[in-house]
Amino acid sequence: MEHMAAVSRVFVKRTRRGQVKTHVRQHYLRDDVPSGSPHIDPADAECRLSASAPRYLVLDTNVVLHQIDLLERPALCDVILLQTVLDEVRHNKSSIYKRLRALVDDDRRRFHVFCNEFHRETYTARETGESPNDRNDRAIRRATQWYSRQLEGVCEVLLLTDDAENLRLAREAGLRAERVRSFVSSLPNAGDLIEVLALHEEEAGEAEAGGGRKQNEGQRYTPHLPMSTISREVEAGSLHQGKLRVRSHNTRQATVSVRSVPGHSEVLLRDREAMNRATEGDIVVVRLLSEDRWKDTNERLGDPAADDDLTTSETAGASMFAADQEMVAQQDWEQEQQAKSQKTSKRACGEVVGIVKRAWRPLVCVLERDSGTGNQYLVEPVDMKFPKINITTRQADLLVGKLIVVALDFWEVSHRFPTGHYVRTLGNVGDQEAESDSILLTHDVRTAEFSAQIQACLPAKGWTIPEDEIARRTDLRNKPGVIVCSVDPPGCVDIDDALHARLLPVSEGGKDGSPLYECGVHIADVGHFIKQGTAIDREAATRGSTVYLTTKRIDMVPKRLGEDLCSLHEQVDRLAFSCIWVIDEDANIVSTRFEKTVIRSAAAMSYEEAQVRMDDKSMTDPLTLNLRSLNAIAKKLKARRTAAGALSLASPEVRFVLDSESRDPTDVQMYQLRESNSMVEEFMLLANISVAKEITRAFPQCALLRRHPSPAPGAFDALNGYLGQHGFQLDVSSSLALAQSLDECIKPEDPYFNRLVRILTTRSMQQARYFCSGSVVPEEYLHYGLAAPIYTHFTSPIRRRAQYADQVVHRLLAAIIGWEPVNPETLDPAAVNDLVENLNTRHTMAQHAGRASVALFTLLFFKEREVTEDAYVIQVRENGIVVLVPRYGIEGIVYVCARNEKNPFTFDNKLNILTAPGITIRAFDKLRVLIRVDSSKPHRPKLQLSVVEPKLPTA
Amino acid sequence: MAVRHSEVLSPEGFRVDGRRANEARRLRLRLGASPGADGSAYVELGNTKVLATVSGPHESIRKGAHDAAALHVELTTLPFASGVYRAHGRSDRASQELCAAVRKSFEAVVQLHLYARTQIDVAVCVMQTDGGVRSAVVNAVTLALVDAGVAMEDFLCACSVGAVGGVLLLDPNAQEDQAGSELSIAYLPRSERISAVQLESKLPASSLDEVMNVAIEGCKQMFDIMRGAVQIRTQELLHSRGMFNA
Repeated sequence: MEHMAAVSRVFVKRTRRGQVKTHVRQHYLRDDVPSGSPHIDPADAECRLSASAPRYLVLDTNVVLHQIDLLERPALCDVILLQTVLDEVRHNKSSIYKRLRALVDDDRRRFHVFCNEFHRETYTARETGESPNDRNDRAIRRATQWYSRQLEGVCEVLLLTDDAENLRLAREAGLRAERVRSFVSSLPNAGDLIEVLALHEEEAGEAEAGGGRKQNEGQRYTPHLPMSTISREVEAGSLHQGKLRVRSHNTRQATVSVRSVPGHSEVLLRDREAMNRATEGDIVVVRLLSEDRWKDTNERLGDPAADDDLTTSETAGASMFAADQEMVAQQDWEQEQQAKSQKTSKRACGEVVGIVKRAWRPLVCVLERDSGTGNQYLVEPVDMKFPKINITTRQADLLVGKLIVVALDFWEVSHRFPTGHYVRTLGNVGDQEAESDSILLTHDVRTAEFSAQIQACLPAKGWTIPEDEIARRTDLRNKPGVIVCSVDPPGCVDIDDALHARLLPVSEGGKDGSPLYECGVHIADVGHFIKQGTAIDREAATRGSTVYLTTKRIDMVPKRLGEDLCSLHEQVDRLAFSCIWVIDEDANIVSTRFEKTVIRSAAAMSYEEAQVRMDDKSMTDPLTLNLRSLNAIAKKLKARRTAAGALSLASPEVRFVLDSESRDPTDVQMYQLRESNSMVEEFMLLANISVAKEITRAFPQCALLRRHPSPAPGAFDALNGYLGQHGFQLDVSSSLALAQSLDECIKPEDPYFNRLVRILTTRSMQQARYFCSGSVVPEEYLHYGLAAPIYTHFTSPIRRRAQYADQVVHRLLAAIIGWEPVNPETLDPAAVNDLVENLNTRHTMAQHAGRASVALFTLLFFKEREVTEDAYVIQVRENGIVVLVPRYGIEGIVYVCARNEKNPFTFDNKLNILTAPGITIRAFDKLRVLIRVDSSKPHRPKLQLSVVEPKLPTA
Repeated sequence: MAVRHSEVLSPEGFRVDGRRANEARRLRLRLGASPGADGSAYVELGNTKVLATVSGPHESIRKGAHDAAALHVELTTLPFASGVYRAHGRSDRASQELCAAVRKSFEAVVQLHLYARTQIDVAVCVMQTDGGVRSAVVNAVTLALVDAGVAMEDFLCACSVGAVGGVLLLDPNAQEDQAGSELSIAYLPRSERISAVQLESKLPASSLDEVMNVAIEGCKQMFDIMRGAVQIRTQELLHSRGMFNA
């Protein structure tokens, strides 16, 4: 400790209870902080900085925050990152902090972190009256100075900063300092690097003066209020804070969800001026407009086709590139319901006066060639919820027709659109690979290969189950009567569940001699390979879920684990975590036990194979009998669940048949369901429910569960309004009543009608979510859709929905049966809550990415086709309708009149009916539509639907 | 103001206050800090500040066993010790528990049988708290007893270890303490025995050995500094009485 000195920092803070607390922090200063340079610490073998580098770079915080895309280019090496900078970045933007850390971990880049705050000679105490920012700048200069002195004559130390004041002071102190732009221009490969440079607001003015795009004079938008005013007024209740969501069917409008406006759950922003430079997902502060300027609830769909070059008003609904169709429709349903359930017929309107937090992330865009002025171009994000972006590029010719990644930098008051910079190119528009990459990027899916460190967590090739592991477990391989088999979709390689059923001998039978069955669900024991806290575990926790696109999947764990080590293949010994019940003839559970087991699957069947076996009366081999017992019990379980009010829901999902060579879609199929699907499903549900009960019993505060809340009051009003016109009504008083009234929604002449109602019912409900048992009262554990009082995910640790959640549940259960203890972190409700938050986001993102991929393939499918198909009206608005095409599972908007044209229809806004002489359009009406790809914008094709039957009148 | 798990130890290996994982805070000691008492010691463990005073052995005013001295420990915490005003009583549960623990540990170390029919009073005043109060108190009482010239079998040194998100931190401060579980031990460095172990939250049984080893290492570090302080104090005393001319 002799190399350490200590200083004290004293500051005063108010505690949550309102008391004033004096914090005294000791801060140790030392001499042994590694400098990373072999010139200074010749004895240190682990120097990151190179001995032969002509110069070391020291970065200012603003450089890291704005130019992370530049830093990620391999051109910049031998960089000193100061602790002061890292801390500032972490507090400002955790996403950039993570990217920065990844750079530091990359050996080739030679980034060294210098803990200047702990070094005796570089520690900088805050002076009285000095702002934290100024102190940080001073600390950065001081550290730079220290390096310069140490390296005098050996190696140059250059401070990069875009802060004018810091630059001036550094130069005054005799340090070498430069702006990023001028430094980059001096590099040999400057042309390439300048492209990815982000512009600064102060620089933007200069660029404009130099012949850039002519902006409209003066201020286009209202300047934002200062932060201090905002926080004061929000607290006082005169301004309202919330998250901004751009409306899916009309991207010029947005809603802000607020809690502080009585009678309204959201505030509508009517146009781009009201949105005042805020974009999708930002946390904004809004001011309400006076009530006479509020709007009626019923509105038009977003207007079709952009009028002039500068507006972006395409309707997201019609574009199959747009993020997510089902979501789109769902949000609209929800908005409609909320609006309707509110007594007032007017929607609160407001305008943005400040942005608390930007949700800006890199966007996939397409360059508009005609938009160029000088080197400035407009790019249009693929995600229509974002506005067009101004970028500066010298290689516009190369970028036309490509999908490019663009990062947003800032949005000036006088500019119609925000300014950003080019990051990289993904590939050609319409190219399957590039478009898939775009989907993954848009949904923030991690696609990097698994690192060697992660691969090293898996056992070596040729692994077999060690003898001592078998000895610890229950061996089910040769147990008489136990025939374990699996039933999965055809061609499944990652089998994570298997089943068995056997009639127990009379000696073990029930009291009155009635027969008892032993049924087991065997789940691949991932826990044996993924131990908590290892590299592979951390990676899986971040990824949270496997993402399935139409042609590829992005794994949560390395392929070898899912497809080989864990997969319960036929006739191979595998480790399993089993849930075994004794069940009587009426499918009542007599007892339940959980065991770690060793199994050998007798057969890995497809649903079809299993079904054929069960149906073929002539087959009486033990495996088939096993299947029949399972099926018989499953039917009883299902009957009981249905009686309790389980809902049978539906989605319009379809499957593509792909060309084996080109991977282009050649046909579309509906998913087919057989009895054997339902058999597997019933047992998985039973296992999940049993496990959920067990872990909640043992860990009431920190069990990871899944719940599906009952629908919000009034959620079905809109749907019921539509259904009423066809003489049906849904009873939503309970899930049982709902299930029964759903069964009654049948039109004999139209078999699809019932399914359609189910699809729309599904959308009217809330999303199922993971949660931590301690954060919700037990009455709300309910899974509404399954009519189960408690539920979790246990049965799918490697496959479909391959969820990290399942692995956590495995761990909890393993702890309960005394298999191995869990880390305290698994039992810390706060940590579980954090985890759950990430899992929910990842799960939603994975779903959305999957659907976006389906949308992409739909578009590719229709590229060379024009098809006329049946469609159903699912929403009616003043100027158009939303239709769903069951055959292809697509939906889109059909406008009944063009923008600025006279509407030939009259709209009944109580019943939502469009009428014109000789024609009436109501929800659930069947139409025929023509589906084709609209290639009028070659850089952004989209799917276009038009009604061919009945013939629509034109104005 | 708990520190989040990921931040307790930066990838560069530094804790929030600039220490490495295996470094204890600065330990500052002064024997004879309160000259009026028979023995006293002032201990600063980082920002945790404790004054221990010993009175006795003196004639027992209470009835009880007469074959050995009775050890009384009393602990007060100043109302502003934690930075926010709080009226601690002598009778609050945490103080009482700590008193009992300190008394038990020292009954095993102090050679009470040498002082029949007497009692030894130990008064501890916690002036500022910033994690590791238990360790600071034990170390202060040891030194105060040494200063009072009470016969002991060995030093009693204490140190704590925090297990936060899988990382072991020696001598955690209050900020680090809130993030994980803390184990503190009292150790007899010369006879290499453990006199007391205290663990207030859960810790995986498998990692107990490792945590104990780190804690013992910490106690040894404490011992070196404490022995140094005792030697200096002894030299001072000898010097002041003209018996030492170095």
